[in-house]
Amino acid sequence: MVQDEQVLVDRISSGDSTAFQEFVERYKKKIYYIAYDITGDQDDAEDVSQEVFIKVFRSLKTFRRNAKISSWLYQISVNASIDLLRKKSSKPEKLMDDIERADIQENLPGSSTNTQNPERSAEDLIIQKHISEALQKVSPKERSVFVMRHYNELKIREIAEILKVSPGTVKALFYRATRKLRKELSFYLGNPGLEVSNE
Amino acid sequence: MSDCKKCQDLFCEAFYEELNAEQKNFVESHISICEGCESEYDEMISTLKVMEKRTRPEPEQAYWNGYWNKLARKMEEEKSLAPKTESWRHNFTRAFTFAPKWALQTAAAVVLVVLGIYIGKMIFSPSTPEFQQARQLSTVTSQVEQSAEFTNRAQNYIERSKLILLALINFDPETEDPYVLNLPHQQQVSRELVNEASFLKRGIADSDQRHLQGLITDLEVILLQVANLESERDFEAIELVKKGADSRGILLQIHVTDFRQSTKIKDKTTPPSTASNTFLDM
Repeated sequence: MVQDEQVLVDRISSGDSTAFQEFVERYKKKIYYIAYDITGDQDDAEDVSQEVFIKVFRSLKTFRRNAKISSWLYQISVNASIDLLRKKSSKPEKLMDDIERADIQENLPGSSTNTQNPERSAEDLIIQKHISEALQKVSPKERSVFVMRHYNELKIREIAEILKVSPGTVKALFYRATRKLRKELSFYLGNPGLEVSNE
Repeated sequence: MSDCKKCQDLFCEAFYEELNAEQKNFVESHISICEGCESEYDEMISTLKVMEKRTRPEPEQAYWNGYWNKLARKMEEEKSLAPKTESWRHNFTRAFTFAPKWALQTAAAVVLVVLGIYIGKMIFSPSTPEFQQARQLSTVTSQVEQSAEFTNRAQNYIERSKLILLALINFDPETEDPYVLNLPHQQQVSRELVNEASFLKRGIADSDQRHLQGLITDLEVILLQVANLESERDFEAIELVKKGADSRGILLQIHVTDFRQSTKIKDKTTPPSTASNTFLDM
């Protein structure tokens, strides 16, 4: 895989016009989702992911050949997402946009989820809303670590490499994030009757 | 490290089944005898299971199909802005490319003759006392200007360092979000100030300004520590920086320097017979 990545990078550097498109097609979803997981907003995820590819295209020549390109991409994505959150820190209400949008879509007349099982859909919506709110309560760095491990299946060592910290720091950030999430979601944890099922 | 701490450090890898056999045995055996760690681990598992219920809104296929075109358009827009900055350079070189060769040769000859006359006048013209006086005056003026510029830079350095110090000293990790510190910015400024410190130290040759040199050196150490902080959450390191600033009495030194500076200004503006001057002479 790493060799394959290297071939692609070499092709881009040598001016192969289709290689960069191939590169974008390969990584677009990964980058979009990691940006979404950190920012919590679809528009921001789109902006961040495109900004990441533009940055990569500009600086691919300076890319260290012995480094892993996916780690480098994640590093740029995480930094760009955290930077965007810092810029937007004065407008926290925007973070809930997608939930509100989903709320409207789910309740539209004729919506499939709405007509099939309205009670289930409302319950799901509430859970989604609570989880998103809880994630936004965690600091951006803790959230980055948490989403990289839990939703993007990156190993502790890879995350440490991406964030340029020790594996111990990654574990500590993950643990802290989990504790904060536990506090925020205690409603689902403390009452067995209300605990969500994994159907 | 206690067994509980060691065990909790492995919780994350235990959940994602990334432990080797030895670590797995350790976690399992510790949990079986430690109720605290057992309940901690169970709660972590329940939290992560709730978090697994999260779904991301999936963009439609049309979005992914159009992703490359959108990106390519954006890159094209950015690219179209680039030639504007290069155009003046292009025009400048083009002007020379299309000028006739004889015109360029004549222009070069004229420039050389004018330069030769100017240099000859400077070197061989007799130096009159008025000319020497004027030269001395201009040298003194430039020295005064340099000294004023140096003082301004030193004051600016101290003021900016003071702001960074105050931000750190007033930061309370128990009540404030560490991101309020805006550490990347503070580190950027600290690095600039460390560079500035080396310039200032070179400039202080006057023995009279030894206290200023000491303050600049002390601040430089603190600023280096700030520039090397790992993260906003590195509370121990932040506390060390605070203690360092405290033990060196940096804020007190800054106040003393400010006071000295203000009395120097007063000195220059008030007549020699005033009371304040007598006090300073004591």
